Amino acid sequence: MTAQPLLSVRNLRTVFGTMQGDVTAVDDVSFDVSPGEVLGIVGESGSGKSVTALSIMGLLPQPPGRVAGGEILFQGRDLLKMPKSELRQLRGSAIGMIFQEPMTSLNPVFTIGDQITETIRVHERIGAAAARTRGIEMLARVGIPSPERRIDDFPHQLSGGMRQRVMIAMALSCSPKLLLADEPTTALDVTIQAQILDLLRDLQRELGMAIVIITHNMGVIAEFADRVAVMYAGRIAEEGTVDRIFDAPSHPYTVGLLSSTPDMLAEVPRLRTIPGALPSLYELPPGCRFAPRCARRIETCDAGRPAMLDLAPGHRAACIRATEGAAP
Amino acid sequence: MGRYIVRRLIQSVPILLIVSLISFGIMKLVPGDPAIVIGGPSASAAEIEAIRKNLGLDRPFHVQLGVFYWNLLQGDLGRSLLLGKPVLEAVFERAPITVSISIYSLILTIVFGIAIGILAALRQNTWIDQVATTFALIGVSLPNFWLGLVMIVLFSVHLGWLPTNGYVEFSTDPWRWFRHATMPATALAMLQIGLLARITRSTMLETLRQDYIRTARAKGLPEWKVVAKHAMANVMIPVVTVIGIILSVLISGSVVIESVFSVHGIGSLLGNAILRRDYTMIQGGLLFVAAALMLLNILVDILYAWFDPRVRYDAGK
Repeated sequence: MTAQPLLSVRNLRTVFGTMQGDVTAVDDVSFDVSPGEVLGIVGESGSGKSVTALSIMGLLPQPPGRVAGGEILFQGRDLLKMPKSELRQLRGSAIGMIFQEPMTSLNPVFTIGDQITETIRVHERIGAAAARTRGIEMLARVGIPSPERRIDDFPHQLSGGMRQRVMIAMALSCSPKLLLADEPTTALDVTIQAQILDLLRDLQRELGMAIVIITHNMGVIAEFADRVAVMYAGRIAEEGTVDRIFDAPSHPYTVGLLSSTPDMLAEVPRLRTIPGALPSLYELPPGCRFAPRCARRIETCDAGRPAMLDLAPGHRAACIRATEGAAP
Repeated sequence: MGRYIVRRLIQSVPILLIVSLISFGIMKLVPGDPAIVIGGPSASAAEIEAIRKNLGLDRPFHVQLGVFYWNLLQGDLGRSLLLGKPVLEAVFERAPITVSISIYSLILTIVFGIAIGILAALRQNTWIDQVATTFALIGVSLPNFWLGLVMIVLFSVHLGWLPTNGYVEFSTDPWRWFRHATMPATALAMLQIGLLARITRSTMLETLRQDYIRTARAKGLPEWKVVAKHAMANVMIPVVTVIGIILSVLISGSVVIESVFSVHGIGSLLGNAILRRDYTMIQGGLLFVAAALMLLNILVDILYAWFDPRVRYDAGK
């Protein structure tokens, strides 16, 4: 990559203080997002995907969470060193975010119009009437029928899919350069999921913004992302373009994830699963964190943290056997 | 919203009917004959019988009830046996005193209860939270009549800042009203402040964990706006309900506190009527207080609907 990345996360470490001491939810995570690019972050529940996004936004529940190290460079400036008020001004304007739970992410006692226009008005010098017009435009853009009437609805008058559209309208109302989408379709019906993804893709092309989409669904990644970072137990296991990762997955965990995705074409009698479960953050394996579940494990796997190996331009994996060729 | 209010008003009619029946029946059921009280210890049996006849107490129960309702419909709650004037007149003479002290007390409760609760929630687990929570616990634990007595000893007897007893109308002299009403209102409010502060604190903590608060922060709203607008609008919903309950407790609590401070409001009027078996006064007074509380509760329900659009819309359907 020659152009300066829009977002560059460097060695991010986020910890949570608990009764049994600090646990590291995100451990030395680095990735870049170029302008206009869609990066997918994929992993199981508890792998640190959402915590990464909240760390970028400065929205970690504090306490117990805190960023313990690393840099988060947005347009070359470190968000972690920025005064709180400056970061606040970036939130909602240059960086938007949408969440997994459309049913609870909107304030039940204010109209959706109120909630959209306040976002616009906190970031731009614009009158109430102009903000309302823009709000109606945004609602129309995200596919809400008769937006000039719907803008005065309260959240409880809308379905889950409609509420997620409102969330998207709100997040995009100030044309952000970067959108963090944390499991934006997980809570929705399958048919609505596809609609929301299509909508996000259309808007992404239209506005030319970069998106970091967090999901546990490989199907979403395949359809939507340009590049993908696979997270496991707080670390990045593998990173590369979607084509590379799907064609030549090099980390056994990625291989496992892909083979546990149902394939409509192949006649597989039973869906394959990865044996075992995500390790507890209190008792992490000494070396590779995936080793206890890995079919290709050798003794050296437990010796220390596996380094990121460059396999091809833009394709890296944290597996000492990654260069040995395709995983089974 | 209009339909909601009308519906609440219509719902209150049967309740009022039941309350009136209870207030009428309760004096018939308790032992003791008001005629004997009025006649005094030296009255002969014939004199007592004459008093009974005069009051209509010799007539059958259903006739008495019929007369009671007929008079009630005409806005006549009867004459007080002891004061010798219409019950309604006596009530309207005394009500402003109780109302002004209760409102004063309610304002203290709302301002301090909510402020302390919010402060404690926003500074959770700091010394501010500790102090506020302890203060609230003490407030909840102290009986208000005892607090009233301690305040008299401290502020009137030792410091001489405030008068020990009596009352001056607000319209007569606001400053003297303030001096007289402050201690009874504070003594009454103390427990309620503690209660409201605790509920406000826990509701605020709960609300700040909600997803929509995270959304408000993600939109880049300043923190004061996240709290003052997005959190407060939701905190107020349960808090308003509690304020409704507090209001009725304040009014019933005034019975005791008025006698501590020798303030002659509705509380002492009814207290005396009960002690001296002035049954028309008790009936009328109870009914008046019940009706007033009911109206206040309707007001609270309307406020509740105003704060919560989900209630408003379901009610409008």
